Amino acid sequence: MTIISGFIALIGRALLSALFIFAGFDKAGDIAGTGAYLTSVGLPPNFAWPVAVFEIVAGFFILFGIFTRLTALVLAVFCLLTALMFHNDFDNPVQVGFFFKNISIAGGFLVLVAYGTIAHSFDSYRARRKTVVVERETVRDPVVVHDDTTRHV
Amino acid sequence: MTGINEIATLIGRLLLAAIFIISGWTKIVDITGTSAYIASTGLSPALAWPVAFFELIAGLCILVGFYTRWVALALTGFCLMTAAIFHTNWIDPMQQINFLKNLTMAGGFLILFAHPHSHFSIETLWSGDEDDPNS
Repeated sequence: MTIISGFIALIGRALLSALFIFAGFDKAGDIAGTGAYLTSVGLPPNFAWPVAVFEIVAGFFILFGIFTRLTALVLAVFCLLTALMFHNDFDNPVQVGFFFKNISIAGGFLVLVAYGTIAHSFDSYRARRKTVVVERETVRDPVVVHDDTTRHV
Repeated sequence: MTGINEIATLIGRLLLAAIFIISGWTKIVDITGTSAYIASTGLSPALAWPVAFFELIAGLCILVGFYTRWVALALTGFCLMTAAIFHTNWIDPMQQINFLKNLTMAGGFLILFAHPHSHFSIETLWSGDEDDPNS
């Protein structure tokens, strides 16, 4: 990956996460309102806290690149579910707009699922650390390392 | 090699493209309404046709994987610009959500810009090289 692509993907992640961090804090700040909104589509109002916390945590995971692939997949499903449950009033053009925006956002997350480990993330930092540790152990005790590709030669 | 990642990207492209194909088509069908909407923000109503065609064609390009990288970049700019022009009335919570959703969509397109190596695309079909569509 080129340096520019890595940097652009970082901005992409920041933009993808913004909605969830803002909406999560919005929900946490008005739990009663969120509960009422959930009730309006037939969901139990005590989902309000879990949903608010989920949005904030998932948003920060995407921003910092922690378990990016798994989080992106969960958020893709979340976007599709919320589109179907909250924005299914197709007589209202505003809701139609929201529906397709959610669909589009889910698409963005699926692309992120496909290319999960990207630069400037906790995931890539962890992968680098792992490589360093393996190299160190190889130096210390070369016998421990098994190379599967040469075993059958 | 076709794996889960390639299929995820294909579905991702399809979902990213849907809104632009549909709203482009909707704009063409109701071009007077589109002009009025554009005029309401102080922009020239003559932009209605170009914008409608841009959305439709850009959506189709993302769908079939044609110049994915550059179309994704153009759509990033488009999402950010429309957010800044049409969804800045934040007293209305609906507009605030629209603004943030546009930002999020722009983020999705930036990820696609950074990783345009998409299978099941015109680009791979033409280059004949499944591993590097940009070669």
